[in-house]
Amino acid sequence: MDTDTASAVPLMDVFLKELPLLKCIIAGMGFGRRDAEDIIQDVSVQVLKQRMENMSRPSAKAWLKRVTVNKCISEYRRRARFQRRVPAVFKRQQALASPALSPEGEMMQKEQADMLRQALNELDDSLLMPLVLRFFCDHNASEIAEILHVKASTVRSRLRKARMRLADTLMKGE
Amino acid sequence: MKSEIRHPNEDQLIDYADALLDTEASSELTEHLDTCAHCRRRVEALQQSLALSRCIWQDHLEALEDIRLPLARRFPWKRIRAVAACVLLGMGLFWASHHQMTSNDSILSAPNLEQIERDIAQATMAAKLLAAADLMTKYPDAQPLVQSQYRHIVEGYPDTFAAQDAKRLID
Repeated sequence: MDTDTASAVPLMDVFLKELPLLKCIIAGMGFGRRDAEDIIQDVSVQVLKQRMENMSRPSAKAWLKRVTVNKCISEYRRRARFQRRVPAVFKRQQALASPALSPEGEMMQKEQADMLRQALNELDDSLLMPLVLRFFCDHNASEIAEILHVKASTVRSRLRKARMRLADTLMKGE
Repeated sequence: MKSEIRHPNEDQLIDYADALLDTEASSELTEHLDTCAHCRRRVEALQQSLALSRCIWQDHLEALEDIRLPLARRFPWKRIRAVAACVLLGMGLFWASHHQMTSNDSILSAPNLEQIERDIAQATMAAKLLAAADLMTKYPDAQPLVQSQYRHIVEGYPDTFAAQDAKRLID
């Protein structure tokens, strides 16, 4: 039997173990450090208040992600903004790209990074959250559906919409 | 007559960009992309936008990586403090009124409001420190810190209930 599902686990232990993933969700939604600290604290208070002695590890993990997602969306999202850190993003991008770019190519990539940052800022939560969970937190559509309380087909259609919107941003900028 | 070009749909383009199509479907789409600049550009844009988004997310994550779990800061101390204050104030008033009825001499020795407030502040601070120490007991590495916290409560706030509890918890 899978030890993860076999017995109940203390929620605080799961929280501490899952903290890196929760940070991915928060970072993916565009929160700065201060708001991120607030969200993590709020979730930790929820963990302390929660009485779920019979919760299995998978249920506890799903619960934690749901609470984090809800906190991000309901209380903080209006404050979230992806920072204008084009050089840092460009540097990261360059590290992934194999051939060196020409000065024009570099300029274009910096512009694209800025356009995309703006597009992520403008993306509705209902589109951004599935995108983050799928491509930054590596969850599949069914897992995202469980976290967001929507159908898997809805997740897939939102992912498609979000991907096309971001791609269109780059195409329009050319 | 010129035949109409049949473009792949959005799902097919996304799956192609993410390399999720099977070999047959993928080679069919590759053939189309060889002749259709618009679809080719869309696939490139889909790949670029995802790669860029990941860079932006990663950049944001880096700024959050050293955030530790700050339980104490947002723990509902205000509420705990308010409840403790009300209880202690009530007890103080009851004590004062009771002694007023039984003995005039004891009115002189009854604590004044300032003393009650001081006691409340002491009791609150001690309870807060004790609760923080209790939260840390789960983590074996924090045991020396927990013990020194208990000792600090006993020494610094000797007349509080928290000090009595802390004394009991010291090894």
